[in-house]
Amino acid sequence: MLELNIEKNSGQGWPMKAASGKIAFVFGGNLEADRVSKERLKVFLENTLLAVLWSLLVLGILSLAAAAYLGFNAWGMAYVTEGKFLFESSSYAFVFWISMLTNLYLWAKYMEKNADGRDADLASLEERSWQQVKEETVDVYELFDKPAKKAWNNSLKFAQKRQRDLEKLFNEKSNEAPQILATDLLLSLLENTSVASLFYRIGVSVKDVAEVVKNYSLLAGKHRGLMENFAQIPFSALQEASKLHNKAIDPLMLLCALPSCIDDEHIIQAVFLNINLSQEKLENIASWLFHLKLLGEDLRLFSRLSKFKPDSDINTGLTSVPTVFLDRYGQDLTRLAKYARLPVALGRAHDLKEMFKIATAGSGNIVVKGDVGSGRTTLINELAYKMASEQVPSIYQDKRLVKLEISGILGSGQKTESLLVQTLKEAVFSGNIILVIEDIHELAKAVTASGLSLLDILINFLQSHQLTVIATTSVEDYTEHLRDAPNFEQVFNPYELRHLSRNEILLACCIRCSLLEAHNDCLFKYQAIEQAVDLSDIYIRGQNQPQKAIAVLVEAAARAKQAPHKIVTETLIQEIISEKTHIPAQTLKEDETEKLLHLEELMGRRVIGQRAAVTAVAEGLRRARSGLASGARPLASFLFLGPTGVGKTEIARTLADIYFGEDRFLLRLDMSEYHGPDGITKLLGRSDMDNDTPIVRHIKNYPFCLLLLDEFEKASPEITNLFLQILEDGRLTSGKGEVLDLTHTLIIATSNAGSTDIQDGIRQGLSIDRIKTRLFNQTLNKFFPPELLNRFDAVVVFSPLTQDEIEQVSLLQLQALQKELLQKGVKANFTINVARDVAQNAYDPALGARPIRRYIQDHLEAFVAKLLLQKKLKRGSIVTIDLVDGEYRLG
Amino acid sequence: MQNFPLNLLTLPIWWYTRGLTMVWRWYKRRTNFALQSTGLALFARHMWEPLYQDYTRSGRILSFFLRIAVLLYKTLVSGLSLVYYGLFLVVYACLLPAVLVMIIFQILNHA
Repeated sequence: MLELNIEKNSGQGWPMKAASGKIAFVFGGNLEADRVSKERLKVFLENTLLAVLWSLLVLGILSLAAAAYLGFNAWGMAYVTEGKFLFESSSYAFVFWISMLTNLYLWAKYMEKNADGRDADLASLEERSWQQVKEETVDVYELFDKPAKKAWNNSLKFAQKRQRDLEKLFNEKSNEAPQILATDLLLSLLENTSVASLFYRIGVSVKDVAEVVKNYSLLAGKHRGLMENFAQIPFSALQEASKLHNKAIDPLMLLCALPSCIDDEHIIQAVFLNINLSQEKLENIASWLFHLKLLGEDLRLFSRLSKFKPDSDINTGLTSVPTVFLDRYGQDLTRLAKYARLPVALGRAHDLKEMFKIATAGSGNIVVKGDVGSGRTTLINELAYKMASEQVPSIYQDKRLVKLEISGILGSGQKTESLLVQTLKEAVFSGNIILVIEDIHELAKAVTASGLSLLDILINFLQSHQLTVIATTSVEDYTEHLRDAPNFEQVFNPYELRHLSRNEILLACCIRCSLLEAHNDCLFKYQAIEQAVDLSDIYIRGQNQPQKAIAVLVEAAARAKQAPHKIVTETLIQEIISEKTHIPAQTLKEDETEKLLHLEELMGRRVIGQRAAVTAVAEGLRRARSGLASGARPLASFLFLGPTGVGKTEIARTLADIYFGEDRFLLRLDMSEYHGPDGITKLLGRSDMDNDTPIVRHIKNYPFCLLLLDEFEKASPEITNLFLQILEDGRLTSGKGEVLDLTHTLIIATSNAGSTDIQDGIRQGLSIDRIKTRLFNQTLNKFFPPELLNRFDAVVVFSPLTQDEIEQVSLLQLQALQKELLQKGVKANFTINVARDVAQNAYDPALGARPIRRYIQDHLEAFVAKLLLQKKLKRGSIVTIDLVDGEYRLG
Repeated sequence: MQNFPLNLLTLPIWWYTRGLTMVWRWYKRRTNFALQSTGLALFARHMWEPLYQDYTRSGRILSFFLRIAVLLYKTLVSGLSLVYYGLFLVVYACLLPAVLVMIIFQILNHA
């Protein structure tokens, strides 16, 4: 990018000037009425002259025809065919020759218009600013293209209109020249088609924006003098254009420069904020439109140059031979590229240049390291396109890029060793082959009868033969299989694919979307593409960018094709990602909002007492789903402490049922099973295990879930330490080295630690807060390190249930029995005596409410079962079960 | 071609400076394209290699003569392209004076 030092101009001319190296930048496009009028007049007269000259051209042709006709009549055909009529002295010939002169002028104008570069070529300015020895002055206005000049000059018109409106409003006339504001330039730019297409991409109407801007700028009132920051716009636009290596400053570059012009009333910033158009977004869309234009030019150039590439096995130099084995076990990528059968590749031009440098520097064999979906195949395809049009260094020219199908060789049923060698020999003998081996690490795994792997055979072959091989692999597989293979790094030069930045990924997706739009007859809103990149980054694990974003966009295009409006919006992208990951879409749906707002009430119907715990969980979940929670930690994490059977696990189950809606989102782990020294292996697995452990499998399948860790204090110390990382970073590394994302997981750990202290505290009449403080100070340190306790969002102390609460629990359990009987067609009611009996006899202070279920099962269910078998209860019965004199009676 | 309305008057100067440069660049592009289509440079690079990897003595001898023949053919075709496009260059150079001469001729004859 051009580095400009912008400064105030103390001399004549535009208030600003800039410098970069030895090049001084001035601006000759001041917005004084005189200059603008002169330029408009110049353009008008030029157009008029052109019209006159075109008329003369037509007149000349007619004169030529007339001269030929008259000559033919007078002297016959020979006079015409010998061209004598052109050289005779006649009015027609005279008019014809005059028109020829004007034709030459028109031709000169046409050549000038199509000239490759300008005198001050913007694209070369950056380089010249470093290398320039002589001082040079460049007028930035001359770097504007015609539409940009038109838009720039028209901003005066809007300023004059604004002044007239203000004069009407304030009922005063002004003789001063109107001040040009950034809003005037914006209104002028909104009339340009490329600017309009940018706003169209974000789903905003240009008319609405223009209306808002006009109203704002009127409200802003009167201004005097040219504002300094407005004067900076041309230079900012120059920098924007140099960022993209644009050949000229076009209206989109002026638009990108606008937000940097901070006017007193911040109108531009307010308007752009209102339509959610940040500077970054503006630049990204402008870059998209620019690169789309470039892609068109590249494809046109490619189609011209690729015509010369032979599409048989024989090269232009006639040195190669047919390759029978290679054709059977390989795929000619240059031939596919010549006929545009490969996906259009974009985004790896920089990596391709680096590869050329490596290839021309020494041994041509390269191994490209990059994860699946990060662009390895794109790089190979881009190379194929370049080779098809011979836009490559000489070592790659007049050659075929052939991809070796390893699976074909391995699955051929023949001796793979001899097949591979035969294929390689053929490639060498042909002399015009560049071989591509994707996932070369697979060769390391294929061991032949001789004990050597196919990779060893390949390396041995390449050490003694002249053949260029380009291989690909992942970073992990390179480390595991290739780096330590004998002589591998002597034969292959490693090259690691550059990680694309978010904006580069966006650009690659935008270009791909342009192709999808043509194929599927749909339209992508820019925000939808942004969502696809951002949400797939966050929610889709195990794949790389830009592959995962592109997969979402391809699916979105296919769905939009079937839809009536054919527009891919953010909502569609969210739906697709939500379906893929089982994570609720980012925008809260109405029913989920209602659930979150009334969560305490909904949970209270099933959880008796423990208001503090229910409130803590509800508030934590509301915080997380409203977007306020930090994205780097689990959704929410709680530690529930209390005696057994008081509702700790029940809260978790209730939450899973109410909020997640299905059991499959809840994973309950009894941490006492992970107590021993092998606890961590049991939890996370090992690299040599085939299957994933329950927690790993669950998180992979349902990243948005509830993880219930019962009896947390019984887990081994290694596991406790593991949760330090999980609660801090929201990630977990499995035994196989996979990194799992727990930032959408709700974690609830339950523990009986300190139960005795809690019960003692209750007996002493202490408040829950005091009991909690005592626990923290005296007891909990024996079970959990303080840093772990601090990482939980809330530590909730559960008190033992009161008698009333036990009765309510009994009633709830009886309601469960009622539901079971209802399924058999029996409507049974239980009196309060029954509930009290259960509460008194079943509750155990040591075991809490847990035995209630067993008591009901042993006594009531047994009673009901007997009645059912005796046919005293049948379908349609409505009964009341009471307790009389210690026995259950049917009423 | 910067200043209106002097363009018509500066046409002759423009024609033999900036215009000629543009036409020369066009000529170079067209001839490069023509050379690429014949593959002359690529073919010449492999001049001393036998055709189709035939490294036998007879193959080398045959390749040499065949390559000479093909090279001559490609050179002829490339040469014709150079001449063909060169003609445009010559026509361009002669066109303006020719037109001016004819106009003067017409004026003198009418006078």
